[in-house]
Amino acid sequence: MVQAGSKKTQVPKLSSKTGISSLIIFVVLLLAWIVGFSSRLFAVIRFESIIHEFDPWFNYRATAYMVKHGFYNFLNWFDERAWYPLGRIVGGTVYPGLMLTSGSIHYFLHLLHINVHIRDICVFLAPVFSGLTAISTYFLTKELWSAGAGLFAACFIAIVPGYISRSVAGSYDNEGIAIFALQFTYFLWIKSVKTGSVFWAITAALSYFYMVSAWGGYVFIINLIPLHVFVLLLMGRFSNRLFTSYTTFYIIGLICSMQIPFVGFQPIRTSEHMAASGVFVLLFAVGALKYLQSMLSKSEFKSVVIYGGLIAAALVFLTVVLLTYAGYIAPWSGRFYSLWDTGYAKIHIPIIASVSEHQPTTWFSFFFDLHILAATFPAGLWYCIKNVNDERVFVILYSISAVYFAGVMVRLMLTLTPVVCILSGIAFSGLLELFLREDDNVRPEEQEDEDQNTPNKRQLYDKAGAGGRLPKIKHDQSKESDGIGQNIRSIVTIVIMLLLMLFAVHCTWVTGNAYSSPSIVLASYGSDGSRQILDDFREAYFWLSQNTADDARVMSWWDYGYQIAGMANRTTLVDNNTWNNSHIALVGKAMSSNETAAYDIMTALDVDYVLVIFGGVIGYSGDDINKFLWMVRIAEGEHPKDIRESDYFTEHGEFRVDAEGSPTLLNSLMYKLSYYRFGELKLDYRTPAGYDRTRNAVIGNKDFSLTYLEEAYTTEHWLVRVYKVKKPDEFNRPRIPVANRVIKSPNFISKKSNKRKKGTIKNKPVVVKGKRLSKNQ
Amino acid sequence: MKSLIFLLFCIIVKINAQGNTLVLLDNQVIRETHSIFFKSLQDRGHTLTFKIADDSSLVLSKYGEYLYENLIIFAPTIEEFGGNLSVDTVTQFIDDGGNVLIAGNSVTGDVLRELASECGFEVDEEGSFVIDHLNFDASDEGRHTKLALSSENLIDASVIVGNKKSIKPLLYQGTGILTDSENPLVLPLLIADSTSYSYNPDQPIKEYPHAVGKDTVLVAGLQARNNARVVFSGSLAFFSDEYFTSAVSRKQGNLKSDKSGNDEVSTAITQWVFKEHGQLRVKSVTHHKEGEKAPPQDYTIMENVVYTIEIDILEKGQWKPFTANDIQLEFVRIDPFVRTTLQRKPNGQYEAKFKIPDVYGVYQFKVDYDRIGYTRLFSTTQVSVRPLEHTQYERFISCAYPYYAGAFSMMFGVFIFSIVFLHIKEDDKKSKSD
Amino acid sequence: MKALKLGLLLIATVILYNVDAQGKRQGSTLAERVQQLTDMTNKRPILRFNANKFREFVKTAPRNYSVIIMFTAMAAQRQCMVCRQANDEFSAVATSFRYSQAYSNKLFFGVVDFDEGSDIFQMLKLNTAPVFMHFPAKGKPKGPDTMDIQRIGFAAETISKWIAERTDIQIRVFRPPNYMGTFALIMLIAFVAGILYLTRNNLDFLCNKNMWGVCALFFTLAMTSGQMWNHIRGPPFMHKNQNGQIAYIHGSSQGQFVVETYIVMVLNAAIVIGVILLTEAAKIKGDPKRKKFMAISGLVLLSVFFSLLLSVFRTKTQGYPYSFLFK
Repeated sequence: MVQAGSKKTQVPKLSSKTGISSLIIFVVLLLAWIVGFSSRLFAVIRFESIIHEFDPWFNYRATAYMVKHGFYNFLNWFDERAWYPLGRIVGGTVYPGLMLTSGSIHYFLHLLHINVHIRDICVFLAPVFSGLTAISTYFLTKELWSAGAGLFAACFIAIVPGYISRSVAGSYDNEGIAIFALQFTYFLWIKSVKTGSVFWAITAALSYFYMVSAWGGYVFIINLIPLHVFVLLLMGRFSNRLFTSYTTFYIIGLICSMQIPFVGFQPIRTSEHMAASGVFVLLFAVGALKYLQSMLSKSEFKSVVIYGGLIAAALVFLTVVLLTYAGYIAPWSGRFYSLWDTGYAKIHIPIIASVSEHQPTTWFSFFFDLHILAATFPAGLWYCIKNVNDERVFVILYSISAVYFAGVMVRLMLTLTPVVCILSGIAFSGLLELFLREDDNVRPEEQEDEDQNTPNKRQLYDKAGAGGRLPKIKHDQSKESDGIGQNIRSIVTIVIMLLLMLFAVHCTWVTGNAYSSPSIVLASYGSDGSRQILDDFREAYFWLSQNTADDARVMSWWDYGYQIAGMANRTTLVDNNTWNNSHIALVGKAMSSNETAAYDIMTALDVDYVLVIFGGVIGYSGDDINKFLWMVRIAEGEHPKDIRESDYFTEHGEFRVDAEGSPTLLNSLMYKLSYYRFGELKLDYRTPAGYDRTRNAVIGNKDFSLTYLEEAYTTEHWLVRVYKVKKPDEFNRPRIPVANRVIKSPNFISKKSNKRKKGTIKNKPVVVKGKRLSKNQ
Repeated sequence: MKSLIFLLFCIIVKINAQGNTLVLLDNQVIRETHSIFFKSLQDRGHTLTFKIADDSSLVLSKYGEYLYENLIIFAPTIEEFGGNLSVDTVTQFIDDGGNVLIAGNSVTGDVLRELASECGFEVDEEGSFVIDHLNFDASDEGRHTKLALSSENLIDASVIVGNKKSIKPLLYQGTGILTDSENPLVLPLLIADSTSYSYNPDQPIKEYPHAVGKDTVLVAGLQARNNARVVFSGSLAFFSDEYFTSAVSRKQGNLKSDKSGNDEVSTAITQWVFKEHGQLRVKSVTHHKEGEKAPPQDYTIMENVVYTIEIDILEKGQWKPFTANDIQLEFVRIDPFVRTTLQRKPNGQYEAKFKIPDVYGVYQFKVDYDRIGYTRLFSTTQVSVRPLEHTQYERFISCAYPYYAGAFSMMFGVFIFSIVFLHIKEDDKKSKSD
Repeated sequence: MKALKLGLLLIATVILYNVDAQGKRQGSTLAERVQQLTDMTNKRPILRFNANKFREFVKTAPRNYSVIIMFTAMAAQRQCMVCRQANDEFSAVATSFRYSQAYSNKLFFGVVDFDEGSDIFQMLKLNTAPVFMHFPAKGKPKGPDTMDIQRIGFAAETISKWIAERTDIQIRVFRPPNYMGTFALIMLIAFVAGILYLTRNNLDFLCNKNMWGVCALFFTLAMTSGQMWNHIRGPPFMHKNQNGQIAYIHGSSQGQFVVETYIVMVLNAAIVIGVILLTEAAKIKGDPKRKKFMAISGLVLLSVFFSLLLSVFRTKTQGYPYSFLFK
């Protein structure tokens, strides 16, 4: 395939170089694949081959289920162990692409009698796909600029942290394969726009279908491509190629995308998809106008264009608005709306705002994820704008929209990364291809070099550059050249090489340090660099799976729902697909109200165990007390009468767990469950007993006892604490506490001792003759 | 013949196999003065073990096994039990399902008070009697503490006190009991008349009495959540031979009978407290789709489901089918979605047929039968109700016919077009293509 | 008869109100006071209380209505900018209560200006403005009856939420619609349209790639330097710590200052320019000197500013090992 790709780029007169060039292309892409794969293995090597944090656990569970029960059962899977007692229709609420991919891989391997466990496939899926992403990026960039830029881009995307962050081995999540689908769809789209052939358009649509089945981010495609078409129309670049490719793509893509149960009728019902259909209509209108233009005279045509255009626009707009008001088109869903009105989520949807990856992005994380690319890709953008054509319009729009979204939400850095790689690939190749040239006489026809006809000689050289680190560079630039002096050329080349190397080591460092911890196994480094593993999560989940009834219901905050279901295989109340806000609010209310009120909720939901994460002992900051305010906010959103956020702050409006903390907080269930028996614990000789290392405070409510719950299990480092909810018949006979008794009896001193076991009877009746006994009663 | 004898033998054994009972007394005299009471117990097959309450060898359990099922404390003035008996051991005994009958009187000892308040009642202060200047018995010696009560004052639960109507008036002399109003489990078995109050008859009344009128409970009962039963009577004399036999005559609403009803009532109460009456159990629960036998692994929405439950009651040592017409079934997912009354079926079964609502989720069949005097029946069965599968929806929707028509006309159009396209001249084709 | 009574009452209250307007009047019954308050509210949704009116309507014991009072200092010489914004928000709430269905005589809005009732400030030991206090129908205001504007601010929505907490009266805030934004937008569109119209015979500046390129670059640089974060989070411009020295760079990797983002933006821009210069230097035909100069300057820009950027990044990440040219 790679061979084919490179063959297409050759120009007949240079056929001698073809072999080498294609070989080099092949080698470079292969290397990119290998490097990308192996740099994603930190987690596996440091820890073990294990599924990472939260969502992957659900994906893994679903995949295992599909492999076990077959596709149709998976499609109809009603999971009664999630969202107790509501249950969840898994088949209708997931993007099945991921499971299907790994499932079919598993199937084929077993067809070949290679017995791989499905878990290993899930673990290594993302790294493998990173290689495919690199290849499709290469093709996309080749279509956009040149093969050399393509190789640069491929090498970049193979190791850039912004993409690695979601595709390390074990993070078995939709994004891992979605980015490949994204790039491949774009490649095919560009291809179809250039060729205008129905074939490429259909392939693009099919690839789009795969993307839809894989990730919710497909909305980005179905908005970006229409935008591309629209801008092309504005620039007066309408062509039959464009017409053919878009109409084909839209119709087939639409029909295909509606086959995914989770998507269903959204493509024709929701505003997110309206742009596509609007452009579809517009394209026809323009096509019709062009046709008219060929028939009518100039003056007539002008009027027709003006009025017709205005009327058409008005009509489209009105219909959309009317349909929206009539309720046929759902307005923007919260997540998308929060992209435009950036303050929206913070006010209205705490459940979205509470997720850390929905926060805006600092320049730091841009640089952290992209390093030098963040600084150089505008240059690529500049050159794309300078010599623009149909497909470069696309990449310009892609970069600008993606950079906006990445600015709004951290997680959308993922969609920005590929285009950054493409553009900086263009920038670097543009730079190196000029500075590594041996003679300048070829320059003229290179100035206006467009898509295909890039002389192979140049390709070859900057492939060497892009491959980086190949020793060819040295003797290439040792050739004589005029204009800029030879030394400057070499210096520039060396500096750029240094920068690229810096980029490479940065990527490795970031991958190793930031993005390779499977967050269910924690590692802590001692002062002497010794590493000890904190495996509390799995310890607790294993305890649950071993020591609780099979249908036991475990209440925890939603972050841990998938893990409990995946590892402990127990029923959970809420989990990480937060589809039902009110149910989550109920759990939040239980957590944030006092024990008695919480007990009512827990009995209503027949909870058997409560699981809380507590980092106070080891100083783990992501624990439930730190998430507590979100629970309160979400609960307040649904039950404003019972829960008030202001009650959980001190007078000075600060959230503290020590003695100054607000009484409501100190008596809330979450607080009690986190700090139960923590008051006695003395961590080290320096700090007092009950010193919370995460909050750096001595807890305020030290010695309390639990009435309705009892501690069932606490892991080695107190990271996970499991409590058993008592059943009603364990408070057998409601006794009258001494405090509110009407008749105060003098408290009685026992006369009994170990020797004298005899009790005492008041006025032991002495039977006297002739006296009625009933008297002295 | 032999088998019949064997059967009879079995039955007799069963009857005699009522749990053995520990009786704690102030002194052996009580055993004489209450002989009728004890006799009736023994006739019903209880094996009584009499001990003086301060006996230093008292034990309830040995090696974690309880020696007795029931406990009678007829030692009002006991200050502290002997042996390893104490309030804690007795409450533990209750929590483990033991039944306790306690009788106090005007000089009830502290340990009994403790015990009482552990169960949710309180005994009035020492030396206080329930006094009623109108409804006293003729045989009273001027202090108006020997009350003659009509059977109306009994709680109307025939399981506990027997048939109210037929019961003769009752005699009572002793202290009053206050019950905790928040406590849902406490039952006032016998209450005083509205004209009565509880105070020390020898002292002038300084402060307001603790118990006045119908709030003064004379005999209080408790059925704990584990169905252990406790009865606390404010008067020991209530169970005495004298009261059993003596005549009752009261001027107020001339209540008159030559024999008091204490005998029947106390028999009924003991039968209740020692779980000879009002013992229910769930024998079996089955549920399945209508027209099937076995329960499916999970139901689908809008299906008709049949739920059957068998309930037994203990009568004379045997479990017999229980008959009632007020047993309800709830189909609950957080809130009840269906609530229906179970139909009685001839073979001692209760059955309900209903349609599962159009809401998927994890539901519970819930039968919660809680009636005064009976043990609480609580049975939940969890089933999951799943939505329709992708094959279970209807295939051809009438309102979609235009779309079908559109699709087919499109196919046809393409067919025609391709024919036209294939049989068209070259130059036209060229001009079309660019 | 009844009507007559009512009329009398009205007249009486009107008279009383006029008397009251002169500010000397004592001990009126509850009904009268409620009546007066209602009348005043009908005039103006926010009542202005001076000292004795405050005592009469808010302090006097038998009340069946609760009053929300904003203590403020609106006078020009106080220079309390916050008070003005607070006043707008507060009046928004009051007005939308006045014209809502929930409008009743159980809740009144009042404002006490420091210059009119400074003794009230002393009486309540207030030394800041603005302060929102709720005087409940019975009893004295307790801790939560003073709105905590430090934490929750004083946006109209939060005020109404707080009121709903204190007195179970839900107020949906209707802001007076702000036409400024739309007006500006229309102006802008008109302006652009005008220009287009004026230069309709040569529209080629629209095809000026440099302009578009610069715009695009600016936008990208703004985004990559985290301006959006500033827009959403509103960080301080720069940080001045206790002993006076100013920090331009936020210490932790979680936050950033506005200045910091500008610096980063400049650095990024310099790098981009460097790259472009280098490329152009190699591209353009012309005298070698110029090309040399361009190349060198571009190289310097690229390397120096990138290493600057790297060092800034380094200060924010602990344990980041790499650096270029200088630490």
